[in-house]
This record gives sequence, structure tokens and C-alpha cells, in this order.
Amino acid sequence: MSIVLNEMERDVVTELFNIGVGHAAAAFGELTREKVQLAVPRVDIVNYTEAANQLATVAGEPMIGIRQDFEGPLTGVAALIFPERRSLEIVRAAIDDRFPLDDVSELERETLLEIGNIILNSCLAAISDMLGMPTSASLPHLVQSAPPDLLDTLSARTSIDRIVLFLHIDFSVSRLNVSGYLLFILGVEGSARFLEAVRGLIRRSEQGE
Amino acid sequence: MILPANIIDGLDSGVVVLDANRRVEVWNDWMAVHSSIAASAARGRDLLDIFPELGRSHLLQAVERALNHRLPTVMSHNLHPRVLPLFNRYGASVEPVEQSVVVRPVADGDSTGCLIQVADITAAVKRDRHLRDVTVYNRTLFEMAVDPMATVDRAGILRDVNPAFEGLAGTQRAGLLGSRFDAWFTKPVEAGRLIARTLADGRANDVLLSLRQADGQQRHVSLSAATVPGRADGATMVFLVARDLTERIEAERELARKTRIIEQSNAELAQFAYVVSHDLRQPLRTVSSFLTLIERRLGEAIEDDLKEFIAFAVDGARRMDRLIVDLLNYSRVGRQDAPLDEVDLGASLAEAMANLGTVVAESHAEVAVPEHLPRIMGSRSELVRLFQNLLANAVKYVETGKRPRVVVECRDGGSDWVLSVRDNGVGIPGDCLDRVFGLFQRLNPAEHTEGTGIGLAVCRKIVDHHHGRIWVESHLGEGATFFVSLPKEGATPEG
Repeated sequence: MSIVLNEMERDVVTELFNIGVGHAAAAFGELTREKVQLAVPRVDIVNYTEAANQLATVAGEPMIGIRQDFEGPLTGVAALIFPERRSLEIVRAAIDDRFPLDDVSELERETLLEIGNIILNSCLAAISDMLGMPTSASLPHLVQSAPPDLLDTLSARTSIDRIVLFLHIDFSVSRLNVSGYLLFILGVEGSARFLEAVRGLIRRSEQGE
Repeated sequence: MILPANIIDGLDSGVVVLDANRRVEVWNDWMAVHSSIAASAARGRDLLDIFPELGRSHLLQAVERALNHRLPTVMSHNLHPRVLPLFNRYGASVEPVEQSVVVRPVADGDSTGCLIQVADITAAVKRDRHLRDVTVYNRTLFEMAVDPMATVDRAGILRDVNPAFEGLAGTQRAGLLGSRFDAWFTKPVEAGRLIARTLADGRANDVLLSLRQADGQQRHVSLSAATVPGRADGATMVFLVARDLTERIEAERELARKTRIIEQSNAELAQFAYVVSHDLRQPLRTVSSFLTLIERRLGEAIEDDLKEFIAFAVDGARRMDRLIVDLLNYSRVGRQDAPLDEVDLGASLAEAMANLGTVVAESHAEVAVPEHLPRIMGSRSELVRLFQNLLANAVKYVETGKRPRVVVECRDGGSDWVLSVRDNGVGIPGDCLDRVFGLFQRLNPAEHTEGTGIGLAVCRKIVDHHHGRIWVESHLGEGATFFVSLPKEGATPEG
């Protein structure tokens, strides 16, 4: 099963998430006193297999994800995914560490968790506020795996007919540029509800004009 | 049934629960101890009222997010080191608590409350800082080291290099990391074997290899390697230290080349001296024999002045022959192939005296020699010649009519034996004390005494050959004392 977005809908969803990550960038920049930029150039709604295929194109590199489960009118799993090596660079750029340790320290993992938390929270808050879908979320935790398994790790708790909001996210902090993925894994009903809410938003804005 | 409140108070971390209006509902014992605010004093109060310094802090924003959006917040230590003013008290010392804080929504009947969990991660932070200090320290040592250093993984890939290694390879760090270690060497198989052997044995020492720089130049290095044990990820690495021997090896090669040239030219010179002295003596002999023949043929009829001329000519030829023989001897000193042997200096002195037999007898000289002289490692024939030349000089340079008196002595000079030959001769002017050891340096006009000006030059060459030293102390008219110090090394004093 698949859900197809028309051009207008895709623009609105993309805008929605850009507002979300924009808030995250502001919050993050305030914390680190670095100029932080986040952008979501494109949103796709794909089924589980397509999502797995897209992730698999990131050839064999170990990935690290920050996962938060959310529930409410929308229930599912949200995850921010980076190549593991690059994620560490983000942390070190954020805390301006000039003499990094060879191995990832616990404190650095915790900071990565917070970075993911900020971005995922902002996106969930944008969904709540703009689509009127008050969504609560669990605490974030880290998942590590190679790309094909990562999706399984993330979506084990969701139903079989999963729909994935697949977002590319560009992250830049103090001259460092990293690309990653934002995934929102929804059930069929949830994704239908999401799409309905997006169409409702479009209708309201058209009526408002 | 254990009450939840007891469990919460028993936790080794801080627990605060706020109601929808941010008022404290739960304040566990840990919070009371570390904030010095009792639960009874905290309960029912706005969090901002308890900690006014929180103001527009991230913690309050997180609380708002939990209460209004039901979203949880992780506050990591790196970005929020000390969220709340909490302290550990050890007796008199007070230390801030390094914190990791989590803020999350909790259902509170129909409304939403908020749970703040505070973990004390002071120990982890200290460990991290210590680790960081050690890392900085080690990194600094690594970066500052004069010797090239590198780390290679099990697969033989370069994983780390210091600036000295960049210099050695003539390549920047970026061009080295990720490349094959063995590919940098002129003998990659041997370089690969070094890594394999280190992985097997844990160590490898002083392996000589040649590294090829990016521009093709070669550097000769001695490599020592050891495995780096106990890495957290369990992947053994090989740590290598190189010593650049290029300059030394090139200097050694240059030295060997020069030595070869010198040896060759010395051999040629020896051959030359030998040939020259033989070939020069032959015509001299012809001159003097034919002059003697002419003198004999002329017989009694010869005029007195003609007889005198022939005598001058014969004498000249004879002196030239002496000169050639002395030069030949000089050129031979230190050139004998025979190795140094243990030599009894007493026996050498006696042999020298015997060789000088008639000279000493004719001069009526009085020569005092020590009863015992040590043994040293040296060349017997050279040491005999040394004594012979010194004694001959001592007897020779005496005012006419004065009886030569010579005293030979030997004293222990620590690491050397110091021999002295003292005479009562004419002495040497102060400004000539060094000059006397030069070749063809004569202080007395030829008419006065016999000599070629080679004797003391030979002495110095013999002493040099024995790694010793020769010098003279004298005042004009008061005799002279020649000193020879010879190293004891390998020598055994007699008696």
C-alpha cells in the first residue's frame, strides 16, 4: 500500500518539517553558541521496503540513530539517523573539543542523544501545533546498526503495513556539514490521519486567503 | 508491601515531580541532601521559587515542554554541566554535583505533570577529564617527538602518524593515513613481515628498512614496534618508532670511501718511498764507489786540496745516503702489518743501548736506566727505535769536552706510563720546544753535529702510532728532558 502526495501537499509537509528543524537549529545554536543550520530539502512518503532500499544505498557504513516513540493521534517511531563517524563530528563541533578521545565517551553519547532529542522534539512539536495533533513522546535512546537492520530495529514495534515519512536532513555547525535522515514510521491509519490533517491545513489556509 | 515513596527516597539519584503548575509534589531524600533543602520545605512551592537562579533556563524550558507539549528532554552534561545548584559534601569540602538531567511528562490525573530526574555523574566527568588530560599529554608527546612514530592496524593500514613521521615520509598526514604501511618501503615484503612479527610476538626491535619518500628519495630507518594492548574495541594496533639513520649511514659510507682512498694512497706512498729510496741509493753508491776508485787510482800523486774535494764529495754522498735511509724509516713507522704485541720496555731500552754501543762508548757517556720498566702493547721494533733516537740525541748534543750524563726514568701517570730521558746537554731554546719534532728541523748547524733532522720526527710518529704523547722541557744550557707518555691500556707493569 502506498500514499501519494501531490505537489502542494509535499510542499506543505516539507515546510512543516523545515519549521520544526528551524526551531531545533535556533535552540541548538543557543546552546552551543555556534551557528547551526538545519534544513529538510525534501520529504517522501514511502512504504517500508522503499525506505529500506533508500537506506541501503548508504553503502555498508555503520549508522547511529536517535529514536523516540510517539503516541497520540499519531503513533509511531521517530528517528534521526547519521553515519556513526559523522555523528561524532557533530558532537565534537558542538562542544568545541580540540583534543577528542579515540573512542566515543559516554558523555559524548549523551550529547548526541540530546541533539537528536532537540531535533525530534521540534518536529513533533511542529506536527502537534500545526496539524493540531497533540503527540507525546518517550525518552530518546540510541540505536546502532548497519542500514538494512537499522530499520528493523526501529520499527519492530509497529504494524506490518508501515508507512515511512522519509526526510533528508542537512546539518551544519561551525564549518561542518553532515547529511542524515529523519524517519517517521507510521501505521496505515496514522499516515491516513496525517495526510488528512495536512489537507485540512491546506484547506484552512486557502479559506483564510 | 514497600511504599513507592520509600523506593523513591532510597534512589541514588535526584527525583523531583512537579504538578501542572510547576509546584513540587515529590522531592526525594537525594534532592534534600544535595540541595540542603528538606522535602517539607520544598513541597508545594514553585520550582522557580526554590531556585530563583533558574530564571529563563533550559531546565524551565524543558519543564514547559513536558507540561505543555508532553515532550521529554535530555539535558546532557556537555551542554548543561550543572543544571541545578547541587553539592556533594565530604566533611568540610563541598563539591558541585556534575549532572545529567532528564525531564519528562507524567500523567497527573487529567492534567500533565513533570518528572525531573537528576543523575550524579561527577565520577564519570572526572574520569573523562582525566582521560582527556592523559590524551592531551600523550598526544603532545607524540606530536613533539623528534623520532618518527606511527600506528598501524592489523590490516597494515596507517592509522596515525606524528609530524616527525610526516617529515620522514615527505608526505602530509592526510596522504599517509589510510595508506598501506608496507607500500612506503623499498622492500614491502620485509615491512609487512615486521608488522606480522610484531602482532605475533608483541615486539620487534631495530629492524633496518629503507623508506621511499613521495619524491623518490630514500631514508634509511631503524624501526622498533610493539603492539598496543588493552584497547577498548579489542583491535590490536602496532605502534612503531623509527630512527632516521640516513645521515649516519651516508656518513659511514663516506668515511669508508675516504678510508679506502687514504689506505690506497698510503700504500702507494709506501711503495713510492721504498722505490725512491732504493733507486736513489743506487746512483749514490755509484758516485761514492767511483770517487773512491778515482782517489785510489790517483794514489800518492794526488794533491792535498784535490784529496779534500774528493773527501767532501764522498761525505756528501754518505750524508745523503743517511738521509734517504732515515726517510725510509720514517715512512715505515706505523705501517708495519704486524699487529701490536706485548712489549717489555726494559728489553727494548736494553736493545737500543746495545745498538748504540759504539756511540755511547766513544762519548764516554754515563747512562742511568731504571731497574724495572713496564710492559705495554706496542710495536717492539718501533719502541727500540724510539729509545735509540732519544738516547742518541741525549748523548750527541753536549758541549765539546763535557761528559754526557743521561737518566732514563719511568713513573705512573694514572692511565699512562710516563717515560723521561734527561740529559745534561746544550738544551733547547724555549721557542723551539715544539719545532724540534718536525721533519728536517735542526737546531744545530750541520757542521757542529751529525744528524738528518728526522730522528725526533720519527719519535713523534712512533708515539702517535702508540696513541701516546711526546714533549720536551728544557732551558738553554741546562740540558733537556724528553717525556713520552704511553697508555697503559693492555699493558702490565713488570715487578
